Amino acid sequence: MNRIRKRDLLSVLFRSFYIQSSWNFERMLGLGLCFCLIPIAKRLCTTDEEMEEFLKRHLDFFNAHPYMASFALGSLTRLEEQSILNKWKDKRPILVFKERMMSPLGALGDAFFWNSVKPLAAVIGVILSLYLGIVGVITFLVLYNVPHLYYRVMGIYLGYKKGFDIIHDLSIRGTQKYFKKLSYLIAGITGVLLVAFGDHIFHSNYGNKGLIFFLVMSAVSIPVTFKRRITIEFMILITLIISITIGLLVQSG
Amino acid sequence: MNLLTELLIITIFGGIVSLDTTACFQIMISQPLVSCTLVGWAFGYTELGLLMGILMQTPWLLEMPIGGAKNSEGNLGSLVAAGLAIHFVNNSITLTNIAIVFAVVWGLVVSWIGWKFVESMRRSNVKLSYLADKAAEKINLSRISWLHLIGTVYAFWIGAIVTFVSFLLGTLLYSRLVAYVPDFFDVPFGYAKFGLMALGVGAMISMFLNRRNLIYFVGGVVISLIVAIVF
Repeated sequence: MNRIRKRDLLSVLFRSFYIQSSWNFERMLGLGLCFCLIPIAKRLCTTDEEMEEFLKRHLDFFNAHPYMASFALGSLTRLEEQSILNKWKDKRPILVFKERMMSPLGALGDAFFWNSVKPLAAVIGVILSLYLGIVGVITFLVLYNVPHLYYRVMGIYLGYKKGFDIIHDLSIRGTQKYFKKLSYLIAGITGVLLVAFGDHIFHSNYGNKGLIFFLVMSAVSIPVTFKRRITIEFMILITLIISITIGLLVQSG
Repeated sequence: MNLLTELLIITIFGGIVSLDTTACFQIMISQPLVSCTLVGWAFGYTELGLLMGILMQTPWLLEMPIGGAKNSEGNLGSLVAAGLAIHFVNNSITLTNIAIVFAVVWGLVVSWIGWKFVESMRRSNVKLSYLADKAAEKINLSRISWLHLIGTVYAFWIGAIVTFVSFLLGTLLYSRLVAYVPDFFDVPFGYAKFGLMALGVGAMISMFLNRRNLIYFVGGVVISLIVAIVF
């Protein structure tokens, strides 16, 4: 009976970078998950029936954050291996596990990557770009991709190591304190961003007038962006119209 | 650099940005700060590319690609905007601030159109899932892999085509409109850059500032003010 090798896990890891390629509104990551697990199917399934069942099981609806989906890939690999080694007659626990994994993986990934790491890395990148040029861009890519790649790799490794038990490590409640600390850091960095932009404008040809305009616009844009009643395109468009109007008034005055 | 070379470069970039936005890797080279700088470097005006990236990066952070959220293709829009702004300045069609404003407005149109294309791609990807079901019945593993990877090809071509058409239209038709704006508008148009910076700061504050972490925000302001004054 075949067992999973490191090579198979590496193949799953490589494929996981393409997990969202066929993202669609009906099954979301369904086909992507199956695509990632094909090396496992090739390794474990010995009969046509086993293979067909395996494929159908993993072609169904699945959704998660794309990086955190690695945890699902690792643990599903483990469960599929166990089911073959221990000759499970009923494979429904795998499906139930998959369903249970979706929300924590989605919630954790969205909160950590989209709502914390990305804004933090982007703002630090923007601040550094103002003073050091391209160094800021490189810093942004490094700051973002270190946790990104770490989670991709560790997701497969830990998921495979822990199998069913990985669910205990993925509680949003357990990670809440880290998100709070990250939000403090982002708030602090936002303060630095405000000063960095202000400093940049103050030292431009526009001087005090530009700085005052920037500070007033920042204050005005907070409630607008907070309520989000209009799309970002409109926010940008309105910002441009107001800015140019004020610019023309300042010039004529 | 001639228009054809610019068009070729930005089309390839458009395909890569579209791939990195959702379809594969997601290493964030699609983010405006990176993609606009790269376009600037390729077009021979890195500073303006970087400035466009700085201006477009923070406002678009408001949009998060959570689940099936319907978000505009801000990354593609920013890429085309950066390419256009540099094209306008490099070819002396207009001055920098006017170029930035008109390019950003065109970029907004591109981001909206780009989303419509991506939305239709995501609908048509459903068919790939159905075809994969049939391939699973026949235990055709390579067909399942290929069906999935077709999504990557779609994503690349949609990004490339949207970028190609919008950049071409922008340079051929839109630049005539831009050329009519008198040069003395360049100074008042400069305020648009500060407006975009303010929108970015407003977006970050609205996302992360609450009573609990206000002290950290104030701390960030105070420390950076001291650093700014001292240095």
